[in-house]
Amino acid sequence: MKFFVVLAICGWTTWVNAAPSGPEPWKIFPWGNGVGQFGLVANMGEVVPEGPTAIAVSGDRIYIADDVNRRIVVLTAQGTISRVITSGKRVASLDANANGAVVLLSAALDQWSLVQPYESIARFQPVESSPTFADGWRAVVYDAALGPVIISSEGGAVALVKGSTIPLKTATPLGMGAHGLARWLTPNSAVVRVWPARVPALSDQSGSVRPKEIVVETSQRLGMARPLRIDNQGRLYVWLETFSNDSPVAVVAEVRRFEPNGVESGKFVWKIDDIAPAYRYVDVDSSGRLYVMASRPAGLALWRLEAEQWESAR
Amino acid sequence: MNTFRRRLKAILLVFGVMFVGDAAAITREEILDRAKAYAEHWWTITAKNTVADCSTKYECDYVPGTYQGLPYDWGGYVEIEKFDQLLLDGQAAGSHSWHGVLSCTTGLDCSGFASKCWKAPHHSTSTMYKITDEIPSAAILPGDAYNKAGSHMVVWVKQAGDGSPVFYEAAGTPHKVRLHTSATWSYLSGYKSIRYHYVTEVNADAPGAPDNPIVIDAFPFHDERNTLSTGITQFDAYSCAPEKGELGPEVLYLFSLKQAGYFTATVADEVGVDIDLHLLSAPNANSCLERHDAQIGPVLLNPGTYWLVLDSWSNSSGVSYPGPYILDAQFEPTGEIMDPEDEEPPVPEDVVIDADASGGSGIDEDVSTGDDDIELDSQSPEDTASDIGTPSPDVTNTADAPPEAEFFDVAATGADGVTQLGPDTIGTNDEDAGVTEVGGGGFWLPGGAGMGNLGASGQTSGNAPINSLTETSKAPSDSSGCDTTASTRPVSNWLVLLGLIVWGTKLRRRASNSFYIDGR
Repeated sequence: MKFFVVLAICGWTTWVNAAPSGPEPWKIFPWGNGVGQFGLVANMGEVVPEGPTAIAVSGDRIYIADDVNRRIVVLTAQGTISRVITSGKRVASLDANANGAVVLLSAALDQWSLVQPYESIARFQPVESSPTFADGWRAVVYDAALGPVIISSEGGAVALVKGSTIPLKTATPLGMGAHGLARWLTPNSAVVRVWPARVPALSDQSGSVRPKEIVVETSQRLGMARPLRIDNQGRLYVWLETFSNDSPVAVVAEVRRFEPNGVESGKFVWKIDDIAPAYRYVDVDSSGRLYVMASRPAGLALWRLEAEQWESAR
Repeated sequence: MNTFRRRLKAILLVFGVMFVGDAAAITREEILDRAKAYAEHWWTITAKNTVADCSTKYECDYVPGTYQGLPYDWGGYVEIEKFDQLLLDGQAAGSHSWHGVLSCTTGLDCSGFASKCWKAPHHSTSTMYKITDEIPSAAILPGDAYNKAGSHMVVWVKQAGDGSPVFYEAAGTPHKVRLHTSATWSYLSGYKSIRYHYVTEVNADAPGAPDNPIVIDAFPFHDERNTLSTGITQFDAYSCAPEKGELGPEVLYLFSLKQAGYFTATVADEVGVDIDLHLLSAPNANSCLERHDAQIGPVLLNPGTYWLVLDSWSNSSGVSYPGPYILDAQFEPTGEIMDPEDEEPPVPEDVVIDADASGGSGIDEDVSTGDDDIELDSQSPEDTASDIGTPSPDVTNTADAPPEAEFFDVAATGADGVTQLGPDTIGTNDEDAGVTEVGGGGFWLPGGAGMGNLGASGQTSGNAPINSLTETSKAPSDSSGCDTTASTRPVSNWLVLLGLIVWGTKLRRRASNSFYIDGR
């Protein structure tokens, strides 16, 4: 009997210790429509609560789509507001280059805008349709080589050029001249594949150049894996979601960091309730700092995780 | 026993559906067709459709123009045809919860959309339990739903290649009915997986059902279909690969040969769908001659009758991947008319690759060996992985591979020129059979110590203009040095490549503990 009691206590302790947790937010911005506030429409019944829709980090600036207030708020590295861009319409995705040029994708995914550093109002233009987007679009990114690019969930992409779009054969631009995709393999593993930027990846179904691969394994059932970014030291960051419960769905989110030689060097784990819905809410800057934003009752919470705060790889 | 229970359940379900009336029954394929119709419907509004006569605080999301996907409308529950008519009548397009339920707007809300997909009465997310059963999330199938009472619901389609959920919904930032292909699982945190009571799992009369196989009466044969069209899961595993799960629904084809010849069948499926080929000598799973996730053959067949079964693969957790597919089949007669009872037809010399290892006829064993090897990656770590945007690993891919000049261009723009074309490359990753290794010693980073050739190429390419990239992709294929004659010598080339795959797989196994795919 004692044996089982000890066993139960040990098991409970292990379970508690295994529960993911995160640090306190770096900043919390109150809800509202004033300066220093972000908009939230919550408790609307049968509609997903709406708040800021996207975050991007580039150079020393943090860009947040304050969707409800139809604006883009630019923060400094200290978390103070440095610039506000009037989007005038809902924005599904955004990114910026190191000089402060911002590219926006409208919520309807049918218009885009390139806002120069000296501009404060976004002017949208239609996105030309492309066969690479037959199955939906995902996000806009500012690729260092190609400029503004829209990427699709199925690996397709188009470069955005004023007046037209140019289909690309690459998948997710990761920055630093590379792109990649993750593949769900088994209930507990995925493979992340990375190609150099100029090499066609999966969008043309050729696979004509072999990617470098990392197999990511998880202890809980794996939901999905997605490469996020490569920083200026060549470290690859991968977003993972695993299931801590089947139904209702309960998800644990984590970002893993891999060194240029492919060795895992760190990870960070959140309870998904802290950040849900985590959808385009995570980004990594060029130096490897991880930013995560989430809608909390008190306001928009923003975490910034320094490189040294990463939990060492197992 | 499981099969018996499944059949019993299906029978009871069919009778149950019959009892409540045919109007309530709906197949999974029909559910998805209806969802797609809502998401892809084009509609046009004028200025009058942006104003709601019954509300002063109404603000329309749309400006006059043409749009795709019905608008989100709080409390909305409407058929497409009715929606079009209401627009013509001057109703406003869509609304939000803060507008309240308006009688002068039209469209669908999330539960109204799901209800319409199921041909069910309008239930809210809070009352969906009345017409659905909760099921394990791992068992969800296309046409089921994820629901969060009082919040939102979506109609399930599939898992994308990276594992992310793909579903139809009436909501989201665009506020319209859409196929959501870029969500993450956290989007569905707190949602329960549910199944509509009257989803018919079987359609015994559908073409391809066991009692109604599709007859292949001429070659080449081409067909595009969906395994959900039958919903029948008569076969769960096959004698030629009993360890492979095929728990999803299947479609049967039937063909008769009057003379011996080489039969080839290929299947292509999309992201999140995994359809496998099975060649049977009789309509039962114990008569399996060949199995593959992408291609069967060329295999030499005697005159006789054969069944080709396209079955939906399932992973180790029992999750199946049914869906649409494209089937192509060819037959090349040997010119000899044989009696099925006669001895086996002669085997061409170059067909036998490893007769000793096969211990049998050579052809079948070798082909199946290649299949098994391929499926180490393409099927279990399976072709869910390979499906993402990439056809399943097969020799056809290699033969049809686009130009590989990109690799040389990469090398020319900064890579150190380490090109690895050869058996170790071909075999190390089945789905990339015949591909080119980018650099032998690097990883993804451009430049820098220890970053290797790939990085250098990436750095250079990183500054390349778009035009040069486009030009690169159009480079001729013969510069790669790969076998461009493959298409003119199909059989021998296939077999050579199969042999290389087998060889490469052995090398790969040897290097299985190495991080790099190339086995360094």
